[in-house]
Parts: sequence; C-alpha cells; structure tokens
Amino acid sequence: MEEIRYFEDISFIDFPKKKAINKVFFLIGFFILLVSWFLLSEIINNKTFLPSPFAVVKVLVSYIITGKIFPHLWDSLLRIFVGFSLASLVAVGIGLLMSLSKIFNDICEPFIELFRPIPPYCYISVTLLWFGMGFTGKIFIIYIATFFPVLLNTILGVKEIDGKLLEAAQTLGAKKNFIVRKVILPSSLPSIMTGLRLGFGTAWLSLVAAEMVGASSGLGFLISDAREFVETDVVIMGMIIIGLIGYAFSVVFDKLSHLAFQHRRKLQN
Amino acid sequence: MKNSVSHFKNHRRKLFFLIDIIILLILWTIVSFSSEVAYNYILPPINVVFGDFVKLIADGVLVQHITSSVLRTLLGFFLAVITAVPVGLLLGWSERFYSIFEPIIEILRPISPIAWIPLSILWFGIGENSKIFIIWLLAFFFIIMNAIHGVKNINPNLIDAARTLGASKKFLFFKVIMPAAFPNILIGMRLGMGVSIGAVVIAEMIAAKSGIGFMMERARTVIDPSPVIIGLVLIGLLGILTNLCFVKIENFMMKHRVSK
Repeated sequence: MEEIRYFEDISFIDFPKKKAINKVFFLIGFFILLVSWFLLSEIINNKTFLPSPFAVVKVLVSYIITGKIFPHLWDSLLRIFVGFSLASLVAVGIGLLMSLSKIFNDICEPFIELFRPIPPYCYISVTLLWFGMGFTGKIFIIYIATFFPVLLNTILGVKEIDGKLLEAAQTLGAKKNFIVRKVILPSSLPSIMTGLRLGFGTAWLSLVAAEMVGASSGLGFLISDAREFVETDVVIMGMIIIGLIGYAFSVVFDKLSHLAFQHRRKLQN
Repeated sequence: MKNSVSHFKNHRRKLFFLIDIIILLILWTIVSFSSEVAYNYILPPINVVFGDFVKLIADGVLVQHITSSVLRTLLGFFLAVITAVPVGLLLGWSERFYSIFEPIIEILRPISPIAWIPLSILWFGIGENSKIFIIWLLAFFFIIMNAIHGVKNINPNLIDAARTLGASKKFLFFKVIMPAAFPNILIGMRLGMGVSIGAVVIAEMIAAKSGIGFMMERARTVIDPSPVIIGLVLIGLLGILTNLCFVKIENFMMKHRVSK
C-alpha cells in the first residue's frame, strides 16, 4: 500500500514550493494568457472554433441574469456534497477499524487491492446500467472516487503516529475508547485531511465525467449538451466554472489541513 | 528468523486474498440468481460473462477495441513525454522561464482534463485526434510538474561540486541535472500513464467509434451487462500491467544508479 496517489486530479496534487508565486508574475501570466487567447480568436475568426474571451464573459453574464446556470450548479454541488460526506465518513471509519484490528485489516486489504486499480470514472457505464441516470448513480460514482484516497490516507495517518504517544496514553491508564478519540484521531487528522483533499479532487472530476455521459442536469451535462449544439462559448464558460469550483475547494482543504497541523503541534507541546 | 516471519506473513496474505476472492464470487452468484432481471440485465453469473468474453475474443471485436484504446494512449503519452520533459527541465533549470510560465501552468492546471473533452471534440472531431489531445494534455501536466519538481529539488551540493570541478553549463545540464531529475520524471510518467488509461476510456464513452469505453457504453445503452463488466476488468488489468512495467523500469534505473 505504498502508493497513495493513484487516480486523482492533477489539480489537487500538492507540489511543495520553495517560495510562493509572485503576485505580479501571476497577474502578468494571466494577462499573457488572456491576450494570446484574444489574438488567437481574432486570427482564427471562427466563433464556433474559438470564441473571444469577451464572448465567453457575455455568455456567462447572460446565463447568470436569466438564471440558466443555477439549476446545473446547484445539482452538481448537491451531488458532490451528499456523496462526498457520506463516503468520507465511511472511509475514515473503516480506515480506523482497519488500523486497529488486525483481522479486519487482513480481510479488507485484498478487496482494496482488487478494486483500486480501476479508475473511478470507468465505473460510469456500470453505474448507469445499475442505477440509471438519476441521483443515486451519481452518488455511487462520487462514493467510489472519494473512498480510496480517504481510506488509504487514514490508514497511513494512523501508521505514522509516534508509538511513544500510544504507550504513554496506555501507561497512564487510558481506555481504548479514549485513546481512539483523544490520541489516534487528532494525530492522524493531517493525513486524513490530505486524503479528503485528494478524494474531493477525484470525486469532482468523476462527477463531471458522469454528468457528461448520462445526466439531465449538472455542469458536466451543461458543457456536453452545449457541445452537441456547437455552442463553444458555453463549453468554455462551463470549463472555467468547473475549474474555479475545484480550485476553491482545494484552497479550502488546504486551509483546513493547515489548521489540523497547527492543532497537532499544539497538542504535542 | 526474520525471514521465516515474513514468509509466514506472505502466506497469510495469500490465504486472505483467496478467501476474499471466494467471498466475492459467492456474493456475485447470489446477486445473479436473486431474480430474473438481475440474471439478464444487471449482473449475469460469472460463467455467462466468461462465455461472452470468449465469444468477443473469437469475433476479434475485443482485440480490436483494446488495440485502438492502447494505441491512442501510447501515442498521446509519447507526444506528452517528448514535449513535457524538455519544457519541464528547462522551466526547472531557468528561474526566468519559470517565473513567466509557472503562473500560466497554475491557471490552467485546475481545469481538469475531463472538462476539456467537449472542447477537444469541437476542435478535433470525434476521431483519433480528440482522444490523443486529451491524453497529451493529461500526461503533459503530470510529467511537467514532476520534472520541474525534480530539478528544483536536486541536492545543491551536487551542482556546486560539479561547478567547482569546472563543469561547463552544458555538461552540468546533461550530466548532472538530467540524471538527477530522472527518477522524478519517471514517477510523473507512471502516474500520468495510470490516469491516461482512465481518460481514454471516458473520452471513448462520450464520443467514439471504437475502444474499450465505446464498447462499454454501447453495451450499456442496449442493456447488455457482460461487455460492461468485461471492460471494467480489462481496464483494471491494463492499469496493473502498466504500473508494474514502470515500477520495473524504476527499480532497474535505481540499481543502475547505485552500481554507478
């Protein structure tokens, strides 16, 4: 189980940086990107191939004013919220059980090894076959996508706990219940947070994919539907919204895992 | 003593693996025979699925789908390697290029490649090119991020030592930086390859005329469960196989480095 990263979205992988991105350079990069996009669209001069950035902004404004975007946005967010919270609760629970009980670990490990090599978004056909195009199917996909990263990182987190901490708690006569709640859970929290971030990335990507293949609402459906009507501006608008939501959540999870680290440091001192 | 303990552990693992597979098969059979609908349209028993598998192979259909999926993946991946490795090494090496292009990469990175699929179909049609574009995009980011990371994290003592011994810039780049960043690039390639296989399948599900994903989706629309399950197992096997290949290559390279 040494390989924790497997199928998650590249946008959620954290590459430790020596220094933060310079804000000025970031703005310059953004500007270069916009200008080259604009110039390219002027040169190609084909709205169905590459609309200009202004056309995309115009479509976005009209979608917000007419309120056409909100049902899709709401549906996608609701699905990810329900599926993600369900899966992460179960995964953290099973992860803790697996690291506490040897026999449970032995029984569960082969199942994990068997199912992990299949990317979650490849379950889409099976899901549509078994659950249809509705809410349940999407929850199933999100569930599978979230489950493995959270589970594996929970197990890793418990494994990394300093043995002295546990021994100290045991010597001081702490009950098993107490140890789990007050020692194991707080100490493995940073690793669990990492798992949650990776799991969310995979889940978001899989949900968009599932909505593209079979759904009647959601952001993935929006862009794949717009593709059939050759509305390139709507497709690009949808891509940007999907990217922004993913990015926003990765920032939130970063902040949370930072808090978890601080909490652990405070406990250790 | 230590050896015998690990030997025992290995046996235990195998035993539990076997037990789990038996449990899985029993559950599968129970679900299949629970009702007529389940038998025909949800999860046929394993012997029926295997029969369909043999039939698909005998027709030559399956081999055709697998080859078209694998060829697409390899081509897109190859293009990604020859573009991402040089650019990544350059960006990791030159501070100036890095500060210009890093923000652009960081802006584009959060848009997941899956979201690019509709746009790539609009640009390149539903043929080969759109799939190759998606795989290229996906693998490109994985490899370039790891290449940059690899160069940035080279032990500075190595570079200083080479410099003090009078190495030229060219020598430094080809003989110190490139070999030192190579393990990281290999990791990026392995992760990128793993995801590429999934991405080609989902691209084929959305719009294609051949491939494993196409086979699964077409079978799904006519409610024929066997090809869907076969496709799923095949994807898993392909993933394990490619991962194993890369691990072997990585081990070989590491051994080579140590012996040097």
